[in-house]
Amino acid sequence: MFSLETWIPAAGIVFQWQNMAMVFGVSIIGLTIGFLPGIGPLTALPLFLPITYGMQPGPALILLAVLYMSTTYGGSLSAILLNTPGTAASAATCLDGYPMAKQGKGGVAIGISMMSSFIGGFIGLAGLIFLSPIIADFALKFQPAEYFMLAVLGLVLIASSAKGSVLKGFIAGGFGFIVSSIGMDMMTGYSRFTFGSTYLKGGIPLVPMIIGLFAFSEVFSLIESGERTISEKGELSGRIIDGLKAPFRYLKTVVRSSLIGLGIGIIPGEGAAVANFTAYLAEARASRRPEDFGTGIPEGVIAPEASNNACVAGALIPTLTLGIPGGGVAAVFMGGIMIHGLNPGFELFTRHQDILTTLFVGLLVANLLLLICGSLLSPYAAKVTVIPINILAPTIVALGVISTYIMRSQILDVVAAIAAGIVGYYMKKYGYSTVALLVAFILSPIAEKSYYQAVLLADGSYWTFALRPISGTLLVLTILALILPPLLKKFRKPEPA
Amino acid sequence: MLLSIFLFILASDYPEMARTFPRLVLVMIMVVTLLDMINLMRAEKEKTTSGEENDGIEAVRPGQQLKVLYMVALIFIFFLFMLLFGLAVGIFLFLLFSGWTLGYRRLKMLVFSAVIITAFVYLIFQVIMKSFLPEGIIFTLIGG
Repeated sequence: MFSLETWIPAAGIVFQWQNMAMVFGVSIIGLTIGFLPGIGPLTALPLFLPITYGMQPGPALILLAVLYMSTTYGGSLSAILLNTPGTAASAATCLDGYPMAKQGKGGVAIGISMMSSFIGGFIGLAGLIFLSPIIADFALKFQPAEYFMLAVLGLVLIASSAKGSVLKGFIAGGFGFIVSSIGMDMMTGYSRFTFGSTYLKGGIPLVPMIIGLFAFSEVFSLIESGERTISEKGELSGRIIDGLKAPFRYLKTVVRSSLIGLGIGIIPGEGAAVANFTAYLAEARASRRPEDFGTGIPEGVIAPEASNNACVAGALIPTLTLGIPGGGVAAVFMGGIMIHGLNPGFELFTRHQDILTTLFVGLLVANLLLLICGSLLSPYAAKVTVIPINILAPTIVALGVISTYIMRSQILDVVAAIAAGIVGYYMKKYGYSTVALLVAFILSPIAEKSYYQAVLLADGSYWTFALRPISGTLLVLTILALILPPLLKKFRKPEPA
Repeated sequence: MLLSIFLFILASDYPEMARTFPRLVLVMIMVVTLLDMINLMRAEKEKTTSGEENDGIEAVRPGQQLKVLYMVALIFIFFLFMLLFGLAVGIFLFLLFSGWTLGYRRLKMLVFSAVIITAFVYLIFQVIMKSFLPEGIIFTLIGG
């Protein structure tokens, strides 16, 4: 657990006017970006990653985490007002949020969403603060065999939870491993898959990969969609203040949904997209009037909103403690940690407690600021959706190119980002998970290094992965994660027509 | 599948420690791709017998694909603009050029948005972050 001595200086850093201004500014930007359907945290975070280069690690991580939270907040606004979720994390919010908006209670629904997100976010952050040190402490027992198995389990969970075909999730993950192995091999110094290129000898850098896979590929999809604007509407009706009070009448719903979100967030691969629907369905099942769900009732907005924000904090738990990203955005977040020379895991919790506590205090403050900003700015945020795509797409491109270039001032980094963008665009088009690719890309060096170290420590025996208690448990979990979903699918009775 | 086979053969020349892991992954990709191909063929067969539409994968629209290629070209053009004119002028010209060529015809709005976005980007990257960005070959030549 963190001592009080680390919290006070952390609060001092967060409450510096520059950092408060940053949190405030990023909250507004995140809310606005999140409001744009289709442009969620996975597009926003990569663009902001390079901005953190020159910053201290603590404020840098706060920037990324606030952006993550605020884009998730913003995504709910468009779900309520336009019936188009800004991100998949808010998809279930449409079910009751949009009917409320149609009944002239759009402002009320937004108020409910803001307060539920705030409480959900707070419960999630409490989970992050109290559970992380326990998990990190447990991670101390990990040796190379455990790290290898953990990387494999993380990848299997993410690949098998990828949208569409599980097999395609594995192909994408495998491709990520291979792309990551391009360059000088860390064990032998031998150049792999470089085809004589000096640029490739250094390996493919993380930032161009992230910007290409998520920001550029999204631009290509936007351009291809042929739409003129993201939406034709831009209005808000109903009183937000009435909505802000509502969640306090449904505290049981808020707490239950937040805990579901937190629990789902901790499992790698299961993101807020799963959390919001699970919480919504759980609430409908627990309700005395399940038939009212979908007609525009407060519980239908509270459940997904509390869960998706709790899930954001939950996804950071495996990222910070074990170095296994909880999902796509958490993988980008982990990229941000690594850029600052920090290694997630026990080391982060012992040697860099100051950075972590700064992050936690920053998140708590940001959660409150988001509630205030979101409530005040929602009516204006609605106007953002009328920005023409012809202006929006080039703006994202310009930001992406600059963000890629400033890292190392290398023209070939921009080319790499464009190539990753094209690959990402076609992967999405043909149902391959770009998230699985990125997670594998990040985990590959850890997995490969741990694999060799484990085998060397065990005098060349591969049994070490199965016979060590924690590693063996992880192996069993990996096998279960591989075989259970198809088995359950096969034996599940078909629903009566 | 072909790419995996090619890379697998390529990796056979590497020292043992450098090749084991990539080859392990490549074998996994080959096996999974094979399974995916079998699944795909099975689904195709079922589809032809039941006459169902393909709803899993988006259909490729050649006209829209051209737009994507066009956007890729525009990214290179932006980079060229940035090298030639520096960040501020480069981004302003790019936003005008790309907005217009992508079909946006309200010139006043286009100029207004280009000015606002340029000012925002300049403030963030050049003034606040003091990032090292190209100053612009043309301006360097003029300035001597």
